[in-house]
Amino acid sequence: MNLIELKKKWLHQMATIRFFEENLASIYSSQIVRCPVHLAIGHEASAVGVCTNLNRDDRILSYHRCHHHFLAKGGSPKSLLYELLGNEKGCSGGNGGSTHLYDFANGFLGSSAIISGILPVGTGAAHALKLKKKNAIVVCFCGDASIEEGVFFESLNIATLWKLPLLIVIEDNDLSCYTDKKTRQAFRDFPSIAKLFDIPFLSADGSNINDVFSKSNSLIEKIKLNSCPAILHVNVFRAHEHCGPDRDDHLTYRTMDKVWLENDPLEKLKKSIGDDISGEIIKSADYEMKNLYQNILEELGFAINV
Amino acid sequence: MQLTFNQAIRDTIDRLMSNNPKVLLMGLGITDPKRFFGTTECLIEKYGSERVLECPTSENAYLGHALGLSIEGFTPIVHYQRMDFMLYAFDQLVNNIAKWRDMFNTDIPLPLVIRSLVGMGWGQGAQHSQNLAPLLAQIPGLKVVAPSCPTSAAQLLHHSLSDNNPIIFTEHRWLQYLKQEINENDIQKQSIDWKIGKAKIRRVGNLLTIVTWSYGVVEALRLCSLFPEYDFEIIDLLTLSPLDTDTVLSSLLKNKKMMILEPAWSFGGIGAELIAQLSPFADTGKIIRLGYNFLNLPASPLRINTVYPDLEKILLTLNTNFNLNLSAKSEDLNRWPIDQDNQSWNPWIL
Ligand SMILES: Cc1ncc(C[n+]2csc(CCOP(=O)(O)OP(=O)(O)O)c2C)c(N)n1
Ligand SMILES: [Mg+2]
Repeated sequence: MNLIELKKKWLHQMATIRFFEENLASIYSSQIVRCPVHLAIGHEASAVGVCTNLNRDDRILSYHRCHHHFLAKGGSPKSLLYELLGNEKGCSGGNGGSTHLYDFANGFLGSSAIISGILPVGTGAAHALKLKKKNAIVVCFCGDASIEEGVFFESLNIATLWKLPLLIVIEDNDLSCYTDKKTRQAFRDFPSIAKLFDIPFLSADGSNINDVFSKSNSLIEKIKLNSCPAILHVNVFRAHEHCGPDRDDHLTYRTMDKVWLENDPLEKLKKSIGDDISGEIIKSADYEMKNLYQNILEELGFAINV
Repeated sequence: MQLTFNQAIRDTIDRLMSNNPKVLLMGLGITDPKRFFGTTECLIEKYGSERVLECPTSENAYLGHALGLSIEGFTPIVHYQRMDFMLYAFDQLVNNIAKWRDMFNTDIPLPLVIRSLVGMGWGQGAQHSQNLAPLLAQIPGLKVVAPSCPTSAAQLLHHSLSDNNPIIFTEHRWLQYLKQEINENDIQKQSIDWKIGKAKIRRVGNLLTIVTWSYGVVEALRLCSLFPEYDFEIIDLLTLSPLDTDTVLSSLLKNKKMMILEPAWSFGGIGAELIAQLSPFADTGKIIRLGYNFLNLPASPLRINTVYPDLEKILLTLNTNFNLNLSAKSEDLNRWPIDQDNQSWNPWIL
């Protein structure tokens, strides 16, 4: 696929995630979604950029902020919405809610609300792929706080020791709820963590999908060539509050407005494609998601307009 | 043929590994010179380091790792030399393994056996001897097994591996070297005489029922051998979750007198659970429990009796509650029935 076609595909995927989340935010106050939600607005390029490099045989696992990973790996928006509504047609039968998504057939092995809890599951799954001699990898998406858990280090040690095909993607929005990194982390920097184990590491700009795509691509090549794990660090911006539907700029624990405007991955991609083409794609993604919400809400008998 | 508990475990693992290439061994110390109490003897030589994985000291990560392997179609047997070390792995055990299928509403098989050893006495102290099996039994999504002899060890291990559910297989250290006369057929193949979730009546009697498990069974059988004129019934629970309340209830209805002897803390434990479940039938008899006192375990052997229910305490409890008149010679009172050094008496050789 040439770059412009790829960009169009990305835009549609990212806009789908964005509109899925925005519709979710808009119905949230009606209280029909009875689970906490960690919106992925601002994180889209990380999920789509990495997953573009994956095949169906590749597996991913994710953390509490996981809607974008689920959708980027090919999960259906319908089954995600059913899940959020606690409906049995949801991807986890309505048992999981927002933080426990599942799509085994598409290689989405699961997501967990325990910080770093899926990392060792990822090393084990990667080990299984290796034993089965599959030319596939496991990707574990996690937040910047996951490094503060002991099991992050344990898992990296095991993955390196046993030479496992594992890509750890750290979506770094500088925040763990309301607390910034410098209040929480003492190690020098992210590359130094990878140096400790002598494994490949790259840092990508999460507002630029092409950067995420090409850097994850080169890391995956290295993983397969050298049979070793690797770390991709992605700088992202979390546009909304940590958990819930709203912006929380008024709490003043951070200044977001300007940074966000400059770093919205969707806006950046739109610009690079050009208004004419991107306008149509955005319109259709917007329409599709509105429709999806309307249809499902209607089907379930909720008298709510999106 | 005579076989010890640890040999029974080893032979069963060997058999299961040779029958099913998907079975993997993992854990700390499984390839060390002592081979995990001899239970992994010769397995690395036979199956290689691809299937027998010596693990880093990362108890939490290697359990999560095993879950990942299981999700992808393997059957890991994970090892913890002491249950105390497994506490690091509670996150993976409770938050992931126990919940994986419910959380995602999936019925994928999750074969995963966790061998966890519990200690006792001998100066092992507060952090090297805890039996937390009752605590684990509280968690939905986990099955907790506690064999008491070589045959039950072999049989329940067979069943655990074919169960397709996560199983915590607890083994008491003092049972490891116990011998039993075994008919080879009893351990070679999985037998329907044994089932996870099914207790066994070890001795039929009409006077009073003692319900116990794991090493407690040895103590109960020793009691029977010291007092042959008393007609005790002994129930070996074998599985703590799911708990076989039916077998216990039938015995209660028959004998009306019951003591639950627990090789673990009594507070909030298996005895408490059984008594709660049997309470609607309480007017048919009397049930008491006896387990560890609610204290941390001492290192000093001199203070061991402050916590564990030794024979003296067992006799006293039976006498006061059931109007019996049991008394034993002091050399019997002061000795634990079995420990690693003392194999002079063996219930399974009788
Ligand atoms: C083990 C554990 N500790 C604490 C929490 C509470 N918690 C939920 S989300 C969160 C912030 C995590 O930040 P990060 O990993 O950077 O992800 P982000 O939300 O920023 O995407 C915390 C601390 C948890 N879920 N699990
Ligand atoms: Mg963060």
